Amino acid sequence: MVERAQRGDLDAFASIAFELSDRLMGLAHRILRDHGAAEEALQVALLRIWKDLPSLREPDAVDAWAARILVRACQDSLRHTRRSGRVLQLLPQEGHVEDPSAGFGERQELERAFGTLSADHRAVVVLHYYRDLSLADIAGTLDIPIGTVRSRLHYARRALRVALEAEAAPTITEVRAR
Amino acid sequence: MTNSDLDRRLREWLEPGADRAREAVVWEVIDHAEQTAQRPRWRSSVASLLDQLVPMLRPVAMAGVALLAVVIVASLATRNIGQPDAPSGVFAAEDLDAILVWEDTKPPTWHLDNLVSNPNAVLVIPARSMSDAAWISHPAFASLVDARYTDFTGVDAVFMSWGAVFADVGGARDAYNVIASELGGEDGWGLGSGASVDLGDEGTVLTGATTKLVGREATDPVASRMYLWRHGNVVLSLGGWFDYDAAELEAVARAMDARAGAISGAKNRP
Repeated sequence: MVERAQRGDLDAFASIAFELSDRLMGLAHRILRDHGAAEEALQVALLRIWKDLPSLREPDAVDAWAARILVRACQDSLRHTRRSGRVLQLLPQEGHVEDPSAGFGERQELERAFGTLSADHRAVVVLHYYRDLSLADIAGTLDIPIGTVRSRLHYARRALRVALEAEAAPTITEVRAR
Repeated sequence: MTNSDLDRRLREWLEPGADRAREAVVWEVIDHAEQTAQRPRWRSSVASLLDQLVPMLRPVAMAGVALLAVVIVASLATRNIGQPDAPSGVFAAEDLDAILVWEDTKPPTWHLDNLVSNPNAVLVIPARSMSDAAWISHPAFASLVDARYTDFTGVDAVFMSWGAVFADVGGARDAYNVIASELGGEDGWGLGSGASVDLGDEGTVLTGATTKLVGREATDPVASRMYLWRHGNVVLSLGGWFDYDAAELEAVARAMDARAGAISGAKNRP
């Protein structure tokens, strides 16, 4: 199928695009934390996949290759968002009902801390905690050295831990009330 | 908070979110793809070939590290440190990060693909006429301190910026001459003698077609323009290939040179 699409067969590409799209959307949504931005990044990535398919040397590696292209599209999207100063909506999105009393502050802190991370760091966090990929698999997917994966994950975890611990710490009002 | 607490909370936090793409979103891409030509293999693969260039060279470069160490030790042993005719360099290794093209200094249409900071891996990037080991052990590079490299994919072009700091001006001058010969020579990049350009203390711009963009094996000729210049003890280069915008490339080279000039000016200020 991939080889047919590499030769310009649009039907073959359509099959690949539908097969990849749910997985890529899941990644994009968690990296960008915004439904509209995730759909845009997915479209940009799918079109890049079509254009660059002839350069893919190992058709079996299309999943990892596509994820790499998607992460780049997310990088571009974040860069554009930061330049234009657009404020992202916070998750959760449509169809997901949250218990309003359950850790709302914690989620907000995580959103805020995650929002300060670069797309590269976000991608590593999402691939590790959402996709459950090992560090070696993340390195293979993103085509970066495993040491880089380790350092990005370390940096991201540190930022997210600080956010969680800040949320757990009592406020001045709470301390005074004791 | 324990590490496992943190891991659990992050997994729970990432769980909610979209897991399906709307069909309409995908159909829109397929409709658009119908009007969009795929990039021919030879062109779209250049960026990935550049990506692969450095990892491919790494084992050879590693083999050259030992040789380089011997050369450096020998060089240090025979060097008259502190002699007046060997002025020390103004630029330090960390200055390269501020001079080379990077996310915040690239034109908006360039996409940053790679940053390489292993000095030996960077040093061998221009080498075409000789093996990496021979290049690394070349006496002209004996005073190499550090080097950086970044590469980019543009709309229909690829670009790279390259910089190397040497211990002194004399070392940088030697390196500049060898690299200029490599870019121009028939057994190197084959870009001819180049034209003088007013960048740094001495500079040249080489324009032509090279068959050695992606390695020592000749490929189809690729339109090329490479700026190479020396500013004190730093040697800098900027290249563009395929359908590069010549005016844009020159502006980026001049911006690199201006950043080097600003650093040099600040350090020389009493």
